[in-house]
Amino acid sequence: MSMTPPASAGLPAPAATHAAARPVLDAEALARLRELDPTGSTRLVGRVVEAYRTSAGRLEPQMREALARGDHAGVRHAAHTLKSASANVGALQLSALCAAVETMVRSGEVAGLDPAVEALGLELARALAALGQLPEVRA
Amino acid sequence: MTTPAALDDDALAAATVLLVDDDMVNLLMTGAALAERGFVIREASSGEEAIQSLVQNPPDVVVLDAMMPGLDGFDTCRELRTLPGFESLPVLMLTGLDDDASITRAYEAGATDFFVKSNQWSLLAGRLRYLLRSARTRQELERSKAKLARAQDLARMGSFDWRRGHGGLVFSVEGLRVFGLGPHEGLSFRQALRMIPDDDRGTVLGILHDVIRHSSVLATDLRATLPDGRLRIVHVEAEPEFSENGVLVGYTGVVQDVTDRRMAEDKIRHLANFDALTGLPNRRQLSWRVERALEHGRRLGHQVGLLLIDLDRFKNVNDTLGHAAGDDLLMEVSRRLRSCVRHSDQVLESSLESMGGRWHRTLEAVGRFGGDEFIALLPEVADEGDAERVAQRILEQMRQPITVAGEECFVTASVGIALYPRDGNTVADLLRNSDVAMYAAKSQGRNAASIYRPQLAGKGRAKLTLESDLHKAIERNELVLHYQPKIDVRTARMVGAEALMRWSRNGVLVPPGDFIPLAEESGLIIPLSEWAIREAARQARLWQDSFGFAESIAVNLPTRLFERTDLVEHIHAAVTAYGVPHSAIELEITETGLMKEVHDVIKSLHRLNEIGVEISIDDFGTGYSSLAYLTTLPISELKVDRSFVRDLGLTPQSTAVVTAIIALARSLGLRVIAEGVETLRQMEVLHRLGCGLMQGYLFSRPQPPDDIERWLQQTVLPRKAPWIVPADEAQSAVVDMPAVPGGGLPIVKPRG
Repeated sequence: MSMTPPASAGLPAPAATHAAARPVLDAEALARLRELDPTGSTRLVGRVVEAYRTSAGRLEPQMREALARGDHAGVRHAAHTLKSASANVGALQLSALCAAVETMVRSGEVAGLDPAVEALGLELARALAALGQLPEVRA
Repeated sequence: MTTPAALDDDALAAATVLLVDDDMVNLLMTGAALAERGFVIREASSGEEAIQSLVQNPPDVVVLDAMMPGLDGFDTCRELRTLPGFESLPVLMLTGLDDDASITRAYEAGATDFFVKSNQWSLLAGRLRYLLRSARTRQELERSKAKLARAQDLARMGSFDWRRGHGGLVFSVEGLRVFGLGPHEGLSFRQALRMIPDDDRGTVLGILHDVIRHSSVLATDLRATLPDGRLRIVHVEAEPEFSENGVLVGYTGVVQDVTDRRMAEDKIRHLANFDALTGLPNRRQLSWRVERALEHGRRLGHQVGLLLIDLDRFKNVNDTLGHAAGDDLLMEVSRRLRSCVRHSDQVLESSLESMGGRWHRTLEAVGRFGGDEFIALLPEVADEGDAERVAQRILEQMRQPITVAGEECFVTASVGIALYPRDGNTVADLLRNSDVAMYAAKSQGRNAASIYRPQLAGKGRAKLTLESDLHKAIERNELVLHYQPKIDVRTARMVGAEALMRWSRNGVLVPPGDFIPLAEESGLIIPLSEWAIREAARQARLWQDSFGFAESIAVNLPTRLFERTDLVEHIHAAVTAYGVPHSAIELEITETGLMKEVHDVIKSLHRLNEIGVEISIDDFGTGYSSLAYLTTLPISELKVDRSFVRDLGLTPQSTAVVTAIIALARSLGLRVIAEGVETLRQMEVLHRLGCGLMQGYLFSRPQPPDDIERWLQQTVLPRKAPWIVPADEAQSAVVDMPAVPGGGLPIVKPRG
């Protein structure tokens, strides 16, 4: 098992070399996640990322299908769940996009929903890639 | 953090948390965070799963995500609350920060609290601890509330609250039950008042007004007629409550049904104050009443009469008909005595003044003072004539026979009268003097009333204390037997001894003449005689061991003891106890006593004779014996009365009587013994007349057993006494003698 970088040590190398300017995963959030399993004995980070992949792999298609059906409540629910899960793994940008989708549905501004879901999907792909680069996940 | 709180938190941290979230990521992370803080985590990923899980194994707290597909958090919470036993399980609803509507919905669904989803785990853990702690506090509160309700229920107690102004009287469920009302029935002040009997209502209202006016504590008992018609006694106790500026705002307090306790108290008070057998006031109650009557008399300057009533020969009834019959008789006597005064049965202890001016009249009563003694208290008499009239009424009431155990008994009473203040100022003085007067009535032949006179005092009192001391004499070992040897002058040997009772009262010997008649009169002679028999048997054994004593010790018995059927058994028990033969005990009965009751005692005499106990007739010659009877009685010995011995040689009649007795004894085959022999001359004459057995001061006065032994050792065996003559002198003396029965060696020293 690899060394866990300290919370103040900045982003790990793979995330830092990504093409995008802003970091996909929030270092602080990741650090807090790692704190829950400081010695790595419960493989918490690995399990959480695994759960996130499963959950996101289910939620994203759900959201798209619901959008295609015009089931806005379905869109909102998927976005809500993805929002908190993403925040938990440090994908704050993604979480914010989920929140935006949720708000749009709640406030009835469904016109911009398509591009929002599209952006959300792109960010999710980036997040999953970044998570895949975490030492706990690669190991 | 203080230590107790830390302990508390430790205990709380071990709590089981059921986490419910459809988001696995959240579930994992929250679980990990809480587990790290010491909670035991169980997970459920849907509402349905959560319900299933908690039914199987209830957690201490549920953390429920509000937004879930299927059964969402609100529905889950609502459903959970419908399950029995989960009404107050703490449920924490996780909502979004921006979601006010969810918070409201969470509470509506029955959530205990809400928490905005975040990864601030410490906050979540703190909130959970808070929830658990308040849940526990609430549980404890509910438990103690339940306990209190049960305790109040058991104590038939409940609480109430009264607010001023709003007419607000509110009872707890238990409080309503005290008044026989169901939990949903109300009891207004007006309704409560209506339960109080009309006669009491005014008093109760008065008390309430007073209490409220003074803002004082309320504590009172009141009677209440319950809806079902039962009359109960309810104790009410309440404390005032004040507003911040000191104004009385109301009362809070308790009500308690104390009927049973009151009844028990009344019963106890009755038992403590009344005689169980007759139901009359007992000594305690009477003393109290007399005390009050004297106080009243002192204040108002009137006389008080005290009558002491003692049944005559009540003991005979008890002895012959049994105790049950005795009890019946006492009850009938009580009924009659009660009819002789204005008897009041009230338990009186206090607050007589509230009964009006002539309250002392209610003191009047007859009470049982113990045994067969009764007291009549006349709280106000004009003169001794008043008291005497009541006494006469009592004697009159007793004249009719009382039927007990199928037999008609005639019971008479002796009444002693003492008046306050003439015959005493205190209860004790009046009691003692009425006792003295009663004693005077008894000594004047019973069945009479006697008024106390100072000149009675000395005699009666001394006699009374003597009697009461005599009662205790046996147990205190104050009685002793002294022995007077019976001497066969022909052999100069002790051939037996007569036991004579002595009473060492406070170290001073009481003459037998002072206490034997008293013992006879009081019936104490029976236990005294029984003791004497035992003691004589014991002494016979001691002497047997000490110097081979094989003769008998004579015990004087009163005739009435011969009438007892258990006399033979008693003697048998005494001699067996000490391992001596029956013949070790000889019984002396006076001639007069024997002839008076010969029919009643003859059976006993025969039985005694059969077992070897010899009978001696004491004081022979003084009574008028039927010679015909004498020949048929199983007796062994005649004792010549001391009066004949005293005059022997002085009056020709005495010599004639003694001669006749000796002749009679000889013809009946009886021993003859002379008592009261004090001079050698008397001895000589008796011997000459043919009586060789003697007893008297010439030989020895009655002495303690040890002195008798010493006397034998120092006087009789060395043959040193003046009444013992050397054998050779005796030899010459015999020449002048007429025939000596038994032909024993004559050792009598002739005079001159």
